[in-house]
Order: sequence, then structure tokens, then C-alpha cells
Amino acid sequence: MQFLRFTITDSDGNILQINEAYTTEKLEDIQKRIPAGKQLVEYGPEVTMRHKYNAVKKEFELPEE
Amino acid sequence: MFGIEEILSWIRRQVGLRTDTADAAGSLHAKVKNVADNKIGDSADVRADNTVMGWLATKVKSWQRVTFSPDNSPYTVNITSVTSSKCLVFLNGAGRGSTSDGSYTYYFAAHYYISGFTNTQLTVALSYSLASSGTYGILSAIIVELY
Repeated sequence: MQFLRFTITDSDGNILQINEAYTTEKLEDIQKRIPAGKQLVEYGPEVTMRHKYNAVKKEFELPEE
Repeated sequence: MFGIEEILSWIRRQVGLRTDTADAAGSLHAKVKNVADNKIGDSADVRADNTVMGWLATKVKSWQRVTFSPDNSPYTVNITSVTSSKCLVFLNGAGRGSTSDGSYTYYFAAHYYISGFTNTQLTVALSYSLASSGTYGILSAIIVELY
């Protein structure tokens, strides 16, 4: 049993969903099921639906209002 | 005719010694130890140990929460793998719909329902159309999988 935190984003880094799970399933097995054009990204506890993933910096950012 | 030695030997074989290891087909001591260790278990056992104590431990196999903002209805999200027939699903959140009589615009909560649930995906759909100025809202689903 492990605790996973991951998001699924579109190709622009917009967060489509945030997942938290106590599960025995491995992250790489979940990755295989992600539809084309989307990506699975692990995150820390501070991420909200308003964040956006910067693939260059490899971190989540909060867009300026 | 049995002598005392034969009788003592039979008792030793049947009753055994207190140091006998657990064995379902062994002596009485071995059988008792087998029941204690492998059938009853102890408080450290988990469900997978398949002991009485293990079965008394948590009934929850996995837990997960998924938060999402639909942009369509129905809308599907990916979940970590579960056996859907053994799950409890709690869905929370609503969109905001609107309707107009020409002079005024009225807003209402457009609730979601679970329209699909497989081992790896959860699908929700809107109970009402949002109309043009509605918003889909943010939803959370908690999925508790039991053994």
C-alpha cells in the first residue's frame, strides 16, 4: 500500500484532474492507461485546479490573475 | 496386549510436546499451535494474512479522491484500478445552470450524477442543461474499495 498524488494534464499543462490514492497499483501502470494527448504528473500537496504544469521547469505554477 | 511403554508412546505421539511446531496434521500440541498461529492470528495481521484477526482488521482495501472540473457532460476521469463492484463512491459538487424569462436570469445548481463506473474510470453527467451562461463547477469523488 502506498500513497500516490498525481495530476492528469492536457498537452498545455492545464490540470484536468487531481488524484490522491492509497493503493497497491503502481504509477507506471496508471500511466499506461492515460489517453493520448494527456500526461500524468506527480505533485506535492499544494496543487489546486487553478495551477498549471510548466513542462520546461517541471513544476506547477499558479497563473497570474 | 499393550504394555505401559506402548501406551506412553501412543500418548506422546498423539499429544506431542509443547515445543512442537504448528502442523494441521501433527500432534495435539501442533494442531493447537496451528490454530493459534495460522487461523486466529494476532493484532498485527492484515486482511491478506487470511486469519480471524486479519479479517477483523480494516475492511478497506484502497482509498482515493479525484478532483476535477468537467468541461462537458458526460465527463470521464481516470482512477487508480479498483474492483468497481466492491466500491463505495461519494460524489460532491455541482455546476451552475441558468435560465431566463426574458427579463431576468435565474441561476440554479446543476447537480451531477454518476453515469458510469468501471475498474479504471468514473463518468459523471449533469442532471440539467447548464444553458449558455452556466459553469461546470469543480467536483470531487471519493472512492472506497472494500475487500
